[in-house]
Amino acid sequence: MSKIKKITFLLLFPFIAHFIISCCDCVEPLIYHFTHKTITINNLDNAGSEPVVSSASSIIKTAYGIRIEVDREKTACTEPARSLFIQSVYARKCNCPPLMQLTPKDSITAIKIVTLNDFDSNHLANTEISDYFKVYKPYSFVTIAKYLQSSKNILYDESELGMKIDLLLMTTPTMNNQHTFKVQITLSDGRIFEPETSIELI
Amino acid sequence: MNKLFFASLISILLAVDSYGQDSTRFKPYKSILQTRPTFGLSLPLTKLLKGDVTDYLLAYDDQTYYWQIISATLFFHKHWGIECNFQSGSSNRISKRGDKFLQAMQSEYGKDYYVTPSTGASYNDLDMLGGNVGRGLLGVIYRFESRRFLIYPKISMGYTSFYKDWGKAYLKEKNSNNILEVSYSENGPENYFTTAAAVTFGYKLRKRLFLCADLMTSYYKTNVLFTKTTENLASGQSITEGSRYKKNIVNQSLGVGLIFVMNNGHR
Repeated sequence: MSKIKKITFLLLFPFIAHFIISCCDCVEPLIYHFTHKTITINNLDNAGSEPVVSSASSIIKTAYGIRIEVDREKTACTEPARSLFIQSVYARKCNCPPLMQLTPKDSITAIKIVTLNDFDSNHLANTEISDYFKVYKPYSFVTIAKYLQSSKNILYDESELGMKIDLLLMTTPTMNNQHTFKVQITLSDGRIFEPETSIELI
Repeated sequence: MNKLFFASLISILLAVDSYGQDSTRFKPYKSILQTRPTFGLSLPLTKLLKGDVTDYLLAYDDQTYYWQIISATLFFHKHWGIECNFQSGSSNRISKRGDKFLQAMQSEYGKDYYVTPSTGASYNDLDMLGGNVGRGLLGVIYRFESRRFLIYPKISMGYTSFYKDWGKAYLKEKNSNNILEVSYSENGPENYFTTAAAVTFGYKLRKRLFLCADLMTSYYKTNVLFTKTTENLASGQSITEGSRYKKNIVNQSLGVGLIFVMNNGHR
């Protein structure tokens, strides 16, 4: 009887082994780097149901915002880590990792918004008014500092390389109608981008 | 309603034709175990709903139709017995309340805001067994029977239950960066202790099949609190206000159905 059991086990062993291996046959993820390439800003008109980029010369001041568009570029691929003893790092785990991982070579460390015109009595020309803006994602507002703390560093799809940050003006100006804003973006590798945008706030 | 009545009448006649064996023997007080499927209307003597938007977050209606699938009566004495039953109720208003809530939020705030409403009421499907308003009762029943007619007065107690849902709307102010979140949260029990007095009138169609009509008055006290929170998402400032549904509810139910005698004794 015990011989029959042994023979049966030996006959079934390849099928059982194949079943276990096929379940855990994960493809090693390709790990890329990405770098911040260009940064542009546009005026946002939030008078409607959602903020839209506007090329108009004037926008209602209670519905004004700035959109920062960051173009990030994929760079070299690095070799995935391999185990010495087993073929797959993820052996015995059937929840395979994403096929691609994009890790940053550099990141945004600071965003400052500077008014180039007198904004109100406390914020004259060439002073920072970052506190007057909040980062908006439907339906939540966070300060710029909190946004930078919480923004994720590792991406899992190339479509995530294009990044948009909507900054909405939460305190309206009391001086002047014509305004120019400089957005100073500092990267971790020392690069600083300083795009500007002008608008008449009515 | 007329269609429903005639459909039930035809069903009864068919059942009469096929059920029962000896139409000549209608000795009173013989049945021991009965089951009594019925359907009917539950009408309000006092109303819970008050015309607020939060009415749509209650899976409740003052006037409902009901069906009673589960019912058992056990007579342990010539006159006395115990009865338990479960009634399920619903109405058109209950089934459409999700859409009604969305419309109400739109009409209340749509002039000044772009409204994005949502509610848990949109996901509530009707449970054919439990209905939207459930009522379970256990009571004492007394019976008077002649050869053809019967009257069963009874008193019972149990519970009435109905669901409550959350509601929410994001309000994007027109021509502004301002966004408000209006949310309704509910608090309160789902089951309410219920007392009921009822009487069943019947006519014996066959030895084991009776036609019956139910009349029941029930009482329970609700205590539901909806809290409305209006929060400015940019500043984080919020205002809360409550809307309480604390009322003594008295309902009058009218129903018709059949009594099936499951077990006859030898008294």
